[in-house]
Amino acid sequence: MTAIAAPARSPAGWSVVAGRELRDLWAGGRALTLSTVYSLFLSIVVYLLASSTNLNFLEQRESVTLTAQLAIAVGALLAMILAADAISGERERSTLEATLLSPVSRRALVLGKLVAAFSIWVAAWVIVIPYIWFLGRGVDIVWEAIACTFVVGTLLAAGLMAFAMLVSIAVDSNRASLSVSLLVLLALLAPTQLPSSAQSGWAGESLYRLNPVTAGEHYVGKLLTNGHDWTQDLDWLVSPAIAAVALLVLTAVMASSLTLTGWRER
Amino acid sequence: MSRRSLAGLMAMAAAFATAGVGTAGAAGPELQVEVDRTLVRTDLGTTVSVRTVTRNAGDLAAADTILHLNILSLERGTYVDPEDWSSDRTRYVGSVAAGGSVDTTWRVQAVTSGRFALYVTAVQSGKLAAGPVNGPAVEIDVAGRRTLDPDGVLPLAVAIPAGLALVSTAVRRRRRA
Repeated sequence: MTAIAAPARSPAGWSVVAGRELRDLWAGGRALTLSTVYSLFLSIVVYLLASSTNLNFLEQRESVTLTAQLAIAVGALLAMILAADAISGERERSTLEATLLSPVSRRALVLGKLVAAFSIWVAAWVIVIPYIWFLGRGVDIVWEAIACTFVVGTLLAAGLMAFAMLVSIAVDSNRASLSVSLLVLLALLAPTQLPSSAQSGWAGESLYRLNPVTAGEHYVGKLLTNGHDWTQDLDWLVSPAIAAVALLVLTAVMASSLTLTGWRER
Repeated sequence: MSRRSLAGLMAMAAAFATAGVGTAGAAGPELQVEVDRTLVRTDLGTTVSVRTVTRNAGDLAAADTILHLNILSLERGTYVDPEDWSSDRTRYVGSVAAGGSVDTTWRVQAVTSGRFALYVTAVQSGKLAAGPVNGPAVEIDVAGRRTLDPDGVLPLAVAIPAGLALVSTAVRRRRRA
């Protein structure tokens, strides 16, 4: 990224950074390429789900749930990738020095980059809408599915993105930043592969509730597959909400310590 | 039919008759299952409730009684996974006193259109040889509606990635120009 010249009396520094980053991301084609790959993935999943002619009512609701859950996981992953690249990527490309010389605070710089990374989650949500509409219109859960995908996905994307930004601030290598972020996401997703017997019981449920990713995905399942009310399982959204707020606050705090090198070099 | 096989059949018939008289005549618990209705008309996706009353018409308590809900399709070719209809199909109601009864409400979601029969079976875990007791069947008539058009997915699955790829290519070309 090139140096940012913020006008003296102008929009806040973060919005100037966000505007520049958004242009780089979308007009540069990177976000569009990622969105295309994401939509291709959704197309394959939805085609496989919908081409089965024997889906009953419940299975159709389950297919909407699966699509929403995948959209949330992959959309949050895309936001995480962009956030993980935000600082360490500039370090590797040797453009961070010029960026740091810009007349904006470190916090505004990091916030602007977070906003840009978040935009890909918003795009991912918009892209999944027609797929949800196609699968869910016969079982009357289109609006619920669209809304809950947005709410849960926003919480998870915000938390994961903030975590990836923290890693990106801390490490020198872009490869390390991406690896750590992806490893953490995989670890958070791993419990979904446990057999249902391991998910029940005190320990299993606690793990599911504490893990923001599994808790968020569980909430989506209860709302869409089981037809629960919005408020019925709201306690499952506590850990995604706490994780998002805590990590965003921590990122804002740690942003002031952003330097040309990672923490290890100090 | 040979004489030997005829004699065998007669011996089997005698054994069944003896067993039937023995069960009917013996003192003990006698479970009966009743339903609050025999026909339910509903729409796909709707949850309906069916109430059963399990009575013990015998002179001894029916210990360790278990009730189980069964669902089957009345039309050939319609697949039924009872677990999809209700995840709570077995109730351990314990002891039913002589002359007493147990009320049970079963909530089932109509997940497939068509005609189905639902019935409840009562079993005593300590008296399996006495056999299960089935209640009357409730006919569930689920009005059908086509919920998914598998043919319609292909244009959608192709159009969205293709549209995004086109925009992406156009943006890259414009940037290079």
